[in-house]
Amino acid sequence: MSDAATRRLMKELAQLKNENPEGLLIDNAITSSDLKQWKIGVVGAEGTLYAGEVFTLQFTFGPQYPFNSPEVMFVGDTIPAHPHIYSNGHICLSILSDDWTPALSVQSVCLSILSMLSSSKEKKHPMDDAIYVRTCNKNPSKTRWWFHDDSV
Amino acid sequence: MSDAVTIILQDRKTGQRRNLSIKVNKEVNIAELAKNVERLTQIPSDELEVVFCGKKLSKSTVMKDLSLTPATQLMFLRSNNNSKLSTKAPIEQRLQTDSSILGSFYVWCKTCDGVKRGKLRVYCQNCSSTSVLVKSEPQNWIDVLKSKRIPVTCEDCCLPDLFAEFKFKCLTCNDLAAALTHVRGNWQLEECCVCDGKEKIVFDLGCNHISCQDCFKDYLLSTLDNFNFINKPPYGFTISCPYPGCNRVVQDVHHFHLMGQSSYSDYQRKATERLIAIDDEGVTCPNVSCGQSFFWEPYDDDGRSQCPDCFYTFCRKCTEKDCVCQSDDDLTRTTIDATTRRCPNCNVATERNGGCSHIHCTSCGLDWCFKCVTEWKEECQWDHWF
Repeated sequence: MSDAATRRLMKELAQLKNENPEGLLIDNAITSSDLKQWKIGVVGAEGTLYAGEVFTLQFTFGPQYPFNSPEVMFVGDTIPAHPHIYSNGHICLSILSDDWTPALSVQSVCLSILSMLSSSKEKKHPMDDAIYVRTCNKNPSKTRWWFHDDSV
Repeated sequence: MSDAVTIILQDRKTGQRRNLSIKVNKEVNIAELAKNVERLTQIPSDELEVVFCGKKLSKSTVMKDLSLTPATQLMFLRSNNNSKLSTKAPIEQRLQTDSSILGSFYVWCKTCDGVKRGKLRVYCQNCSSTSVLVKSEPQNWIDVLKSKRIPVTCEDCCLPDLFAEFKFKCLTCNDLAAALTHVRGNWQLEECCVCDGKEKIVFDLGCNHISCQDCFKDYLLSTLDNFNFINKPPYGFTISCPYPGCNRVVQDVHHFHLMGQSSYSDYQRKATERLIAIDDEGVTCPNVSCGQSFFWEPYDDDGRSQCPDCFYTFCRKCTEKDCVCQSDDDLTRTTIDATTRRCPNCNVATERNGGCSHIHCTSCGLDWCFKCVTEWKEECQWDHWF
């Protein structure tokens, strides 16, 4: 962890604990001593397909955070069935890759994912789930959700 | 502390012109300086107007605020009738006008290799004299950055229809420098949108989302890593405001100097390569040991080009030395046509070898749908994933 990243993460943690946003469980967020990995619980909002269900989001930060996006995925026994979430926990969300900006934060990512869950119309994994889960990189950040061949 | 000030005295009454050098304390104001000139020249000080940076200075302006250097010249004007030159503008308003030349903006100084406070200087665009008076005040950055916006009268060449030429200088070393329109003082000590720090000098792309210099530099460098700059004509490859969802972009590449010299060169090289690739008349030499990018001449064209660097001659279409475009088994082209779809904006051949239909073009930055081959829409977001 770089100094800047550590400073920023300390600040985010303090802010999260202070604000305690609805739908997020942050009590045992820090799972490694160097702030590198966090686990945050998200609770499905009332009146949605996931009402009351609890899922765990895992954040892994690189030394370049917040200039590089964190690696974010669902972990644990229950992975939400959702058209943009693969059964291995990988999430297809633009702010986690291309639309990431350094002014986004753990909190804004969590809230985006919560709202993604809330707007879901059916509980099922993406259509190419089986093939993706078999062939993808372990790090979801390494997945390019769009493809382009520069050589042609 | 005392310094010599060079003065050009233009006497319209007698048509004479003379140069003076006066030693004055930097704490004195213009009224006191005029008294000094009166003592030397016997010209009553209330007949004199002091012109600097294209405008008449108010009597209360303090010398040190002008950031003069030994080479700077102040012009004293004596009018050709006995009436005073001074306008009837209220004191407050005139004080305010003076503040615009006192360096409230920032520049990139090559000599100091950093962001520095700058000062604005005005010259006659025809003869480069500093003895000019602007006829209207510049109101915004465009007025000072574009030529022929602000009319002036010049005491030196005295030609009609003259315009001002503005130059920016570094307040530290006095060398010419590039104005940084997106850098400003953080008067209200607002927080950087990235690190929440409260720095005195911040970047603001005109949207009031501020980021500190360190964060903006890191933001630029991380964007350079994967060359995620976006092509936004007329600004070229640029970067958007770090604030989520904000579409303001850096409008002047001088801001990218913040990355340091070698990264800036790296940026320039990569941006040129990509622009050449997008341009119909741009081509990159296929010779593996060369790779030079250049523009081919549209006239007198037989479809072949010669690289101006290594003199390799090739067909632009198939990039082969001996053209294979006409041969029947042009497998490469057929394969490309069969396996790719073209970006609806920049036409670059795009292969989808997995993942969803949401394509982000790394060439022009368009988000498009591989199913519809049009810009990515709300409908695609829900129905065209795979």
